[in-house]
Amino acid sequence: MNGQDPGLPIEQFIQALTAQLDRVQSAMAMKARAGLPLTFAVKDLRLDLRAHVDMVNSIVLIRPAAPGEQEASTLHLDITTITRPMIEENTREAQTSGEPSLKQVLGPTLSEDEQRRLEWIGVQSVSQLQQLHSESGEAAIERAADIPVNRLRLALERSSQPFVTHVEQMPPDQTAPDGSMLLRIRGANLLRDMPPLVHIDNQPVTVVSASPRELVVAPMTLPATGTVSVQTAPGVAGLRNFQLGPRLQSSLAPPSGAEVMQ
Amino acid sequence: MRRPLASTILELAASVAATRRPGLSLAVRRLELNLPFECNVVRRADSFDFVGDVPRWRWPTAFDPLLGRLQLILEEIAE
Repeated sequence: MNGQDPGLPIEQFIQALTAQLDRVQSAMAMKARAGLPLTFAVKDLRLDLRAHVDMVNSIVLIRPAAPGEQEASTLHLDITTITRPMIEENTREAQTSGEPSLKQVLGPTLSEDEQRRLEWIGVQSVSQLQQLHSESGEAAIERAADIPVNRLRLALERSSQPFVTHVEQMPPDQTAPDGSMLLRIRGANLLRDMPPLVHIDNQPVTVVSASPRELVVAPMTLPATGTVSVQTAPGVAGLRNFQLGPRLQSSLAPPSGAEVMQ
Repeated sequence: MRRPLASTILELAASVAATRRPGLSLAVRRLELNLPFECNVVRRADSFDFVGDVPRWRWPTAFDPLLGRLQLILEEIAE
């Protein structure tokens, strides 16, 4: 990275550093397992790095100082080893795995910068945004993430609407009681207070089971392509174009087919 | 060509491990290093490498990158 380089986002910078330290620990662990008589592990590491720190919108950029740049800042990085229980204690539960990302659901409702600021306060998924909203309220999020209240309201509203990410045919051994094929619809906010109304190409289909993240439906016919609509409240529905593959797993139509109607 | 940080640390650790000799009654259990250090991040095709190495020369010139500092504590892995 030279003097003309704008720098590296701090997350990537730290990742590049920790990747090297992981390599060190792995190599030392391999040596220990190989039975070599004296092997070492990195206990602590402190790095004083001469660098320039810059901000472009909400991105913090780090650029190591080039020759002669005496005015560069000094970053002190203290890195120590932690145990597995400490990692687990400090890692968010995997409750968001499989959930559509904030970007998927919010789309252009919030700018990249605003979504990044939400990430800074620990919001990476729709459920986290909703949880924070119910626990702390709109004003707290607005202050902490510096997002104008009207845009935040729009994002919160959009984050509570049904959003379909996948439509797939269920395996042949999992059929409806009458033997007809079933479709699995995955996404977010697919169930509210009332059972959802599901339509495929404007034809109502029977909902066999429903949860906020997954619906199982039994369509009368199984079209290779179509549009699924999930309505969770009067006037609140999520639409998604889909294309079923020749086998069990299907794929969605391009994301441009996704929209939310109200 | 500057070495990736991992290679530099591993080499330092290996050099300490190599001090053990049969018949020698002393053993190094812990090592603390405090070195002038040259760091940079190098872009690869699809990733970044954190490069960290000791200074190229004893007397840095104006053409050399500004030096940072590395403090490293290595401890013997207990049996």
